[in-house]
Amino acid sequence: MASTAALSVRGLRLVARAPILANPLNIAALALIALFAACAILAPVLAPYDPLLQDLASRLRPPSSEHWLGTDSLGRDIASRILYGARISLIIGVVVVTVAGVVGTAIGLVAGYAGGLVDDALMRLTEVFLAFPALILAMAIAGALGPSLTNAIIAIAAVTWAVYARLVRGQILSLRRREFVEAARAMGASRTRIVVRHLLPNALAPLMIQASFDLGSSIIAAAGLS
Amino acid sequence: MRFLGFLTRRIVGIAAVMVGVSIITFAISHVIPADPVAAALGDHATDQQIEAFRAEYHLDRPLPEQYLTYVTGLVHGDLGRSIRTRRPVSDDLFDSFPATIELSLAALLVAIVVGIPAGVWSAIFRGRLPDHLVRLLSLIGGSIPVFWLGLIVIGLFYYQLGWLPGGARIDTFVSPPPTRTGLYVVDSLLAGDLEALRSSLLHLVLPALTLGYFSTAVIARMTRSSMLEVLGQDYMRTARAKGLQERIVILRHGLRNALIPTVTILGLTFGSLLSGAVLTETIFSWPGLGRYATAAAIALDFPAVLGVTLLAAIVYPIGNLLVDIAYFWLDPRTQHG
Repeated sequence: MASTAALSVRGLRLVARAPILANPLNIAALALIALFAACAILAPVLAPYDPLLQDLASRLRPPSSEHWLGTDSLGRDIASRILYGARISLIIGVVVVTVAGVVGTAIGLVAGYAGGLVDDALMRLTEVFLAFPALILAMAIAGALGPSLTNAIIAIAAVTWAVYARLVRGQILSLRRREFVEAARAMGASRTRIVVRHLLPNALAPLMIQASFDLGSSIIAAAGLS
Repeated sequence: MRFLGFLTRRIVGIAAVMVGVSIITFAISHVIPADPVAAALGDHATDQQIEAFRAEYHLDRPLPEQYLTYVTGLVHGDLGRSIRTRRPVSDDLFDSFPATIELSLAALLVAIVVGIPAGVWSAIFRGRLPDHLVRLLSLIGGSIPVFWLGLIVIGLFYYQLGWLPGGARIDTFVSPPPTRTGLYVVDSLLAGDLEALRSSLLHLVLPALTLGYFSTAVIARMTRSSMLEVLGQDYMRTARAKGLQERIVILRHGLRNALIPTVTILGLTFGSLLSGAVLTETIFSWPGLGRYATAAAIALDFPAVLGVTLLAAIVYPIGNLLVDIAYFWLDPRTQHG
């Protein structure tokens, strides 16, 4: 029991020493994300009104103590709608970025490392998806499978993964002949090990940046589709 | 010779992408449970009108036959007739694409000229005021929806201050320059028409800044992140130890090695901007491809949608081809083989 407690204290210390938590700005950012997530999760408790409740007598009201952010053209409370809307938006942003990031990264890794015909074929595939009109795809998916949150996520992820594939491939192309990769190869590391343990971690920085921007833009895209 | 082989392979690739995109779009257009005939003719059309319409657009034929008819037309340079505008799709694209090219190139210029130096500056001054400033502006650029930013800049610079025009490509009292390229700025220059040049440049400022802000933010962050990795490398220390000027160390040894992800994003931005920026074009009444494509998709105007998609299927591979050439120039080790 004592050893478990000692371990957990040691674990907490390690977490506190993690580079991401060394910077006060990062802690503030994490706290802000946690706050948004908490607001979204607790929307039914925090929201002062039903987000769908229409009150035509109080349409387009400015912010007041009664309606913190005012009301929309149908008299619905904007603050309540934002709180409830954040639940859907957060899900869309996180799921789209996760799905698109994982699929795109896998394809980009294979294309960049294999090269030749495999690279050509996979990159032409990404171009097909990049060129494809998202609106038509969304309409087709909604038509075939019915309009839903899941299908909106599928439609947005289907046109987003290609960006990650191109980014990862570019990174792998510039990394694959570096000395540390040659060294790993000389030591007998397998292809999978080289790609996953040596190339991928060094290719992650631009992916993280792209993901941070896509979190927001996929939410806007979903709003456009709905 | 090797480059020629590479180029041939990529041109074949563009054709393959066009075939792939056209087949998928064609197939998907028939999955959508909506009738383009009803959308075009309305609910009160007679059976005779509906039959005539279906025959005109070959909608009464089996799907593979429709596709073959379309491809045969395509080979002869015929993209079909738009259901919505009733004009040849090629004419519609010819009218709207130059406006999009002009706006996209201006936005891309903003992203390159502002984004890359901002990223380098931010990395050099990591943790200090310039870095915080660039990161804050990037955060804002990545967070603000383009439709909101567009409305705010119109409200401020057009409505409140009256410094810049709020929409369209040129003032109504200025005659557009004679069409040579379709780009008003270039055409005004070629015609030596300074009044048209001034008006078209002023009309370009707000939409280009609005459209370019997001790309600028992404490019600044990408450049900053790669520069931070590069600045710690041994060869940078060696370059400094050799006594090179700091400017040369940063630009020639640092930036050149940090540009791979930035160039990738620039290629993708080039493609996405040229495929049309719907929101910016709508807010600024810019008669470009994005508005045309969205109107076509909503009206189920599939010949027009296919035309726009095929154009994107040319633009993206060209953008990516330029990116791959840039990779090789920046870092010859990126070449396979």
